[in-house]
Amino acid sequence: MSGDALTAAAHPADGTPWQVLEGIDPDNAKFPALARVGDDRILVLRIGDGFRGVERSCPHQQRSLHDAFLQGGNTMIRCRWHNYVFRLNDGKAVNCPGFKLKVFEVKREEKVLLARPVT
Amino acid sequence: MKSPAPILLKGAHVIDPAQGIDGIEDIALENGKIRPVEGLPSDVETIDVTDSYLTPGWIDIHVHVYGTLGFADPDSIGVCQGVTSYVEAGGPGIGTLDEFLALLGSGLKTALFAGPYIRPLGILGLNFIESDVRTLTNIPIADWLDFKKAHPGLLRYIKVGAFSGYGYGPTKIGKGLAEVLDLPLYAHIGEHQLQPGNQSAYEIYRVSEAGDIVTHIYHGNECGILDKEGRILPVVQEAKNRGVLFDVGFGGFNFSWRVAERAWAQGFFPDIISSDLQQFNVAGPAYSLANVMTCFMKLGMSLQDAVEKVTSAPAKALRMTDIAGSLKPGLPADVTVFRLDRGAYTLTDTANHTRPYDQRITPIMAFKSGERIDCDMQRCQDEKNWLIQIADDHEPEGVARLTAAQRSFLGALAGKLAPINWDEFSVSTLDYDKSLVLQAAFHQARQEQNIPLRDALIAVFDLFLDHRFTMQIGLFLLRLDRTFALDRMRKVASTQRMVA
Repeated sequence: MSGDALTAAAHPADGTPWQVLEGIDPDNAKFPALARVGDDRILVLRIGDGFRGVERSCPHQQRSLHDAFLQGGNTMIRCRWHNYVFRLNDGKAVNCPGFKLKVFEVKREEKVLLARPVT
Repeated sequence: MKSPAPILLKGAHVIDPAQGIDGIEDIALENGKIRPVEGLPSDVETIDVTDSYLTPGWIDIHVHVYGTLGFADPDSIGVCQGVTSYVEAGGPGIGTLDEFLALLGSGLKTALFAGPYIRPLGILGLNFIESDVRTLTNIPIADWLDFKKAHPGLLRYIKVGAFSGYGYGPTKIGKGLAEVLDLPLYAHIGEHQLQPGNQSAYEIYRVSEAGDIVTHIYHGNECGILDKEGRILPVVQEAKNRGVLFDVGFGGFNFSWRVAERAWAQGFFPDIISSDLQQFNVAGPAYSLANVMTCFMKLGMSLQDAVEKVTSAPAKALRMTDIAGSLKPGLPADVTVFRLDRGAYTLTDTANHTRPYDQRITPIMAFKSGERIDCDMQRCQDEKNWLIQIADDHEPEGVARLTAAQRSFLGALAGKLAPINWDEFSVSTLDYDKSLVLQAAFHQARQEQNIPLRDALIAVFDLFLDHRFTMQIGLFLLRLDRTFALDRMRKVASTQRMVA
């Protein structure tokens, strides 16, 4: 799945303003990259030609997701610690009902990345 | 296929601790049993296993193939990995053993035994209320006794979580039930889901007797086997001295290199090696029983001892030396053949700490009651095997296979569930009692429709899952979105009516 397809599948966050992710050069940054969106500390993932953001820690035991795996044709993220899997389009738990991961739309505009939470 | 004709396995280094065998020998199988090599016909089918090791079929006393932690393809962690017998560690309880048997009582190549949990529903998984004494609901002694009598040899131990927010009562209840049933108590002392400072786990060392088993012994969480200075706690050592057995239960949370190395340095060794393979550790760091055995060789265990702890030791502990754990003629022809590979490997514990090692145990072939299975260590890694996904955006292929009776049942089930409300599945507020209500509704619909339990269970799983996982029906229904679930049941049932 390309990044564009992922964005298209996301729930719209109409009305939520986009925020510039300072200090991340989309062409040269190492991904996943650390960023902040409002009060949220997020990881920016490169997925195909596009990008996606997730909260930095797995909601299960708050372990870092910096070395998490992409799963299911890049539609899901899997925490390496206990295989908890979440959908990247809406953060819904796949194999761990009750948990939810915060996810963020990330788009590129020329030389900068912008992000906003998926509601 | 199982061959009644004799087979000669030739040239392997045989390790059979129960018989004191450790050297190059030939082993013969016939009619599903081990047989003497003497007297074989001259044209016997011969398999050359030179440069391999050959042992009794491995026994993993702690796996999860049923329930919220289980697999879609249970043999993938069994015979496909050289494990010819395993024990489901707590997935079902007395309230779900019928479901467990209906789904997994036949059809597997691996011999499956049960170590049920004292809670009627079995292990809940994912949620942090395993320690809630209220989820024990009741302990129907008569049902337990009747079940054991009706299914001789199936139950191998009673599992209890050695933790409680209610003092030592649950631990003692578990021990009492095990005593009534004349089974070993099998106690989880790993990740114990309690507030820091709760010391209830240590009661298990005082309650357990010789032959009872403690699992997850090298975990690095609260209430471990070491004191703050890294010494084995006296209460733990005293239990070992009087014959309580200590089992690895690697798990997803419960093996720490730091703890294992410190224990090893003090001569505190495991009696049994088990994997605790489940959905949440099979893709790492546990991988396989072979990998866990390799971890113990890294600690300093000999290959011979590692084999003993997955063959004769568990067979003795689970009172199954008459059916497994040795290559004595007359026993079932359960055999594991493996290589000891050399290379640069990394062994990872459940806290993501690693150790390098230059050897690796690699199963290559198993025989189960004489049937040959070529090992495939990657089969279990398939996402379809461990990633349970509700097919909420499409109908699974299994829907097309539903019979008229199953479709009618689903319609009836929707009717039974309609008056019951349940909320979105929540980590913090799992509604345990509601899962019992849903289970009861399921059984009521099933009985009214007069449909076999297996058919009814499979109807539900095939309606919502692309790959057939098996779990407690009450918990499965609880994790479905109510509106979505009822709509799909009704739709499938109405499709049947239109066809009819």
